[in-house]
Amino acid sequence: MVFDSYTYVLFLCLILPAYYWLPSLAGKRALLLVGSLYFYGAWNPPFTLLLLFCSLVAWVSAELIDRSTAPQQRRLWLVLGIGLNLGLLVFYKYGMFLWGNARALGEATHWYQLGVAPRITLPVGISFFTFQAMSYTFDVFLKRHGRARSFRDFLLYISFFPQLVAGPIVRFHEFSEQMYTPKPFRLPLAVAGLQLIILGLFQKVVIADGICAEIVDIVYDQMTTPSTLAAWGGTIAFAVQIYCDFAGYSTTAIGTALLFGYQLPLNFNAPYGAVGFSDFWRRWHISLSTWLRDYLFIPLGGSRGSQWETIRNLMITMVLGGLWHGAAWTFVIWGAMHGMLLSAERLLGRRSKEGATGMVGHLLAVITFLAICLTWVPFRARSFDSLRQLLTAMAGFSHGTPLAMKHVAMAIALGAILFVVHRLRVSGLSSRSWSPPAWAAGLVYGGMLYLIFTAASSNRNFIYFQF
Amino acid sequence: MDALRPIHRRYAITFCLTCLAGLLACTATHEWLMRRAGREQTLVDDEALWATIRMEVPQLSGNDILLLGASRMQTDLNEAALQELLPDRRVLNLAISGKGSSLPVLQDIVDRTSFAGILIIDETVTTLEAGNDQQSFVDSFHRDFTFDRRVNRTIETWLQEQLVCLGFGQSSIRLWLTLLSRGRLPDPVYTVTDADRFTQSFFARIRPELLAEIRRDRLAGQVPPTEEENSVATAVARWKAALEAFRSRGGRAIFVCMPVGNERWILNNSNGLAESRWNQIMDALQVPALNCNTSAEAFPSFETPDASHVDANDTDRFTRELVARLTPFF
Repeated sequence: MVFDSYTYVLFLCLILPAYYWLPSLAGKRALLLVGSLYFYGAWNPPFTLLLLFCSLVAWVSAELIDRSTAPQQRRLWLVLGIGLNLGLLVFYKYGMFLWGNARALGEATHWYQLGVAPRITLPVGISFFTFQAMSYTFDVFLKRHGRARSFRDFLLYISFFPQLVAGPIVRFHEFSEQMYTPKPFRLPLAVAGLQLIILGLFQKVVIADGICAEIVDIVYDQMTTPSTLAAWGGTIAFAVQIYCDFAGYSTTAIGTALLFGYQLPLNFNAPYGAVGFSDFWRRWHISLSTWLRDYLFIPLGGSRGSQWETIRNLMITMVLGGLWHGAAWTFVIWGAMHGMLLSAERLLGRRSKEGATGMVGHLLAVITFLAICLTWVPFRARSFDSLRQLLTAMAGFSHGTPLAMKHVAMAIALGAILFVVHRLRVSGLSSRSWSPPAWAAGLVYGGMLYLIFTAASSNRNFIYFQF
Repeated sequence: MDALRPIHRRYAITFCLTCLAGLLACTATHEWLMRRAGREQTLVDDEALWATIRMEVPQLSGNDILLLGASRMQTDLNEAALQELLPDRRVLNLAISGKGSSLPVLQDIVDRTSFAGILIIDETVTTLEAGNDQQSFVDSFHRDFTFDRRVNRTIETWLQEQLVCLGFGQSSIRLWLTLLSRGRLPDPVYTVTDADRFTQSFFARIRPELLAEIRRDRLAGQVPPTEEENSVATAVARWKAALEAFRSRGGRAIFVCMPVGNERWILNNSNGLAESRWNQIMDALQVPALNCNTSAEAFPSFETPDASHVDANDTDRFTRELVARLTPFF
């Protein structure tokens, strides 16, 4: 089930009154669990079993870790628990990619022959729920928190439908306490949730799908050699599209969770207003970047060693982070580009310039934004050829197909608006105390709802569903 | 997260009421603008709508008809005329606009249904020889068309049948961007698709200069097939197994090459290969076939205003002509 569907509205209309009608917390949790499993199964029912298996692996391994006293035994259960869940992720997400590469290697070296890769359907949200499950096993091993009270509650943590298929990646301790606090219906909280849902869907349906997708598709899918302006226009449009798509999903998820009395962590915090790349990664997909920091970068040694060891750890983390986004070499390049930018920033001693004020700060933010846009090229490009052509065009060495001026103007205007809005929020210039009157806010959100309702674009899944 | 600021109950109630009022007012304005300009309801023809028709195939009897092909099969036939001419037969339209060869759909019908009725397949020489684009619709049907999608598409279909502003090409983004930038309503959508996926093209609704541009663009891309040694064998090899399997269980397949208009056909067939190769393939496949572009009687009189499709005002006449010619093969 997807957020931007009529069935989701129907689903909410059925489950929400029932949720608040139930008097006991245990009943509410049970209903949420059933609803969450239905939500996931609505897409592809058999994969609900995979979700259950993944949860069971994490649950059992954490139980065994917690009950074991010998360090070696604890480590064994950890390796088994993480290995099984990681194995699932590798099989479903990277199986075809690895097979394809092994096949190409065999053909190139003539050492062996492999047939065509078997077709593996990627279960929606597998990267998100396996990461949540693994974080739980790790945290129990590291004694950061205790075990879940029951498998049922743990399953709710893994499968909680607002964040199940595209995050935010929630840690157990962020969720567990909320499961046991009373959840009476509060209209103001529900309205706040509703506002976030409308805001998120507006970003996704109207801006990402309705406006940006068309421009991006023209440049990235239809043009063989775009002109310089077309390449930049298409890339800036993609920067806006992917932000609005993913942040839109997260905002809708946070809003939906709020309807049920749960608070999910912030996943995006004005990333395009960042000054520097480490600042960007503190603002973009926060739940993933902190996951990678806590469970990959720090265990690798983090920044405790020499400068070069830190850079090595950064590169490993970012390349694997890139690969997390998709099973293709272009994602590896995207991760490596970010690793290099972060390393260069560290080498130049310009870590986190978010304190930079005035024109210098804004100028550095512009440079950061444009560099981030450049890194989106491998992320979106369909092939290495397309990547090379786009980068060549963006460097100014192309006299290829131009993009209609209305599209260029739209892309640049949207990019500029998003940048300015994010800058205002990062630099604290946007007024947080101003609050519009209820009727004005209502009309604005009503207008947004109308645009969502009538945007009528073709069916586009959330970009992050594929991850 | 500004929305998380504490708000009062009265604020929340006022917000909800004005939000609803805003939604209704904007939607009503949009709908009024569209209806005043003479626009009518038309469905968004997507994979899910196709899947709703595909889902009905197992219910067909050996007397019923399935239409396969691309846009011409979807737009040139008149559903009311078909019902009048063939009152005892159900006709389902599984043609997919803009997706070339219908071989993947034929393969799917053969492999995953027991349908043994009549298939009318619209193909050109080019689509007989290559193309697999329709596979994405088939995959989507088997992989994604769950109960949830079915319910969602049913709601969408119902809403699109009620409201003009939810129809294909009537989006609010298009409306307001055009109104703001050009000071006029967007060009009307000239095709009307119904829930059975039959589409009618009303070319009189297009501005003449725009129609001329569409026609010019379409004609500009037309080239005749090139001389290739194995092209007939390739096409026959592609289709033969699926057709034989279908016929072996009692099904009847008829191939049709729908009219593209004289000017375009002259370009397509400037070296004579479009006609001769089509005939060779049909002979090799041993199927009843009708090429509307070369048929001496009746069909050449159907001009296609956009150099591809029959106008809605002619579909009734065209359907009657076509059915009269195809009925002996049923």
